[in-house]
Amino acid sequence: MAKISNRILEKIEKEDIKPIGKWSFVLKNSILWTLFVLNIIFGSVGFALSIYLFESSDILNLVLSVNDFLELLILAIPTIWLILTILFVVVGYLNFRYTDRGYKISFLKLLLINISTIILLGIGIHSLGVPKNVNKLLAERIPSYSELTDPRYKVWSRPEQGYLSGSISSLEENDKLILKSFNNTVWRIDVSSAVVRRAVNLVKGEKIKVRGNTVGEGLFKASEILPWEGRGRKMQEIYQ
Amino acid sequence: MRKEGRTTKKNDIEKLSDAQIVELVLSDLNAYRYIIGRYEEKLLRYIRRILYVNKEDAEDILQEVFVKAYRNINSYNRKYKFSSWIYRIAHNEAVSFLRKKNNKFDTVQDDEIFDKIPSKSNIEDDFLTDLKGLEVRNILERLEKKYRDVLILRYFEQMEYNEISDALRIPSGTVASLINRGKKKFKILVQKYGKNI
Repeated sequence: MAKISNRILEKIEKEDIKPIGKWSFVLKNSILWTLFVLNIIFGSVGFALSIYLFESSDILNLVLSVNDFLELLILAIPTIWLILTILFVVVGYLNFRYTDRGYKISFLKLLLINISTIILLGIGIHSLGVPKNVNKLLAERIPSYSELTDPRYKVWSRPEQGYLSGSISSLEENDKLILKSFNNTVWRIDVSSAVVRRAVNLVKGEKIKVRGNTVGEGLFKASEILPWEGRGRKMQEIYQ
Repeated sequence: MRKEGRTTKKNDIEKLSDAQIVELVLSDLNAYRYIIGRYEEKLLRYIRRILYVNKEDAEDILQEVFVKAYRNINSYNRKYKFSSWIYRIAHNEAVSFLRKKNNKFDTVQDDEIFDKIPSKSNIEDDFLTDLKGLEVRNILERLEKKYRDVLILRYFEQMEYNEISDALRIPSGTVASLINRGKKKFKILVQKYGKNI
């Protein structure tokens, strides 16, 4: 047996093997912890944005007026942010798992802790109004961000089901306006019998949401005109 | 006089705990000899029990284990048992050997390594005591690796649940359930194959 220890010590000396510095292990552990915390924060912001965008999708208002609730739900779920949130949960889990004592907590327990922390923090962040600003910032900085992440684009781009949105290209006489939808289709909207919400100004370039029904090729009869932004009572109040 | 001094030093070191010797190793490589002395036999048996390799292959793996342990000695946390830490390295090294060889190596019928079944005074469980080394070896070989790993650590290396947890980097609760299920599966295999193996 002494032979083995001699062989090992000889190898260590001959190959000049040195212990890896303690700082290296401390650094690795710190990086994993930092990444874990960052993932929890990003996950929480992602979840807060998911709630914000879900609310913005108008599903709570539309749910009573549609038959296919499931379809609307699928349309209204902010898929990208939800996927990103799940990704942060998974990466956060892996970061924690590989910390020094990360294996002590079972997979299920750790996953539940991760998810509940992200949900609770997400609700907190949402109640502070942070997602609105983050969403605005991202929309300004990232091209096509809004179209990709905001469920309103999907919900309000279904003219056959009575949901249309876009920006006003021009106003015509006889209560008609030309609307360019977000997928670049031009619609002539009849607003003669539409209820117009207080926050809508009906000016050129304004983004609006229109409820009603198609009455012909490129023709839409509006029953209600809503502002694109804003969900508050004041914004949505019916103009008297 | 010099010889006497050296003997005294040797005796002093032998009285130290593993963690204390590790402290010495950081400044004196020679102290590592004591760590090797304490664990070489245990780890060699352990490697052979989980891999069924011949003694020469097991010694090569063991050498790598000690070299790796020395290289990573600073990652050992003194709050935990050194034995769990070095068993973890041995386990990882054995698994990596298995992967490299892609299971293409000659297994050896060294049944005596399974003969040393712990006495009842150490572990209150008699599910292994009526079996001979050869039977234990062959039944363990038929078990899934995850069960085999925990049963070997528990009943041959006589580790506590928390030590197994540290050695295999799995939660203690998982260790307990793997041991329970492993024992049940082991008993089923004994009933099924018995001494016909």
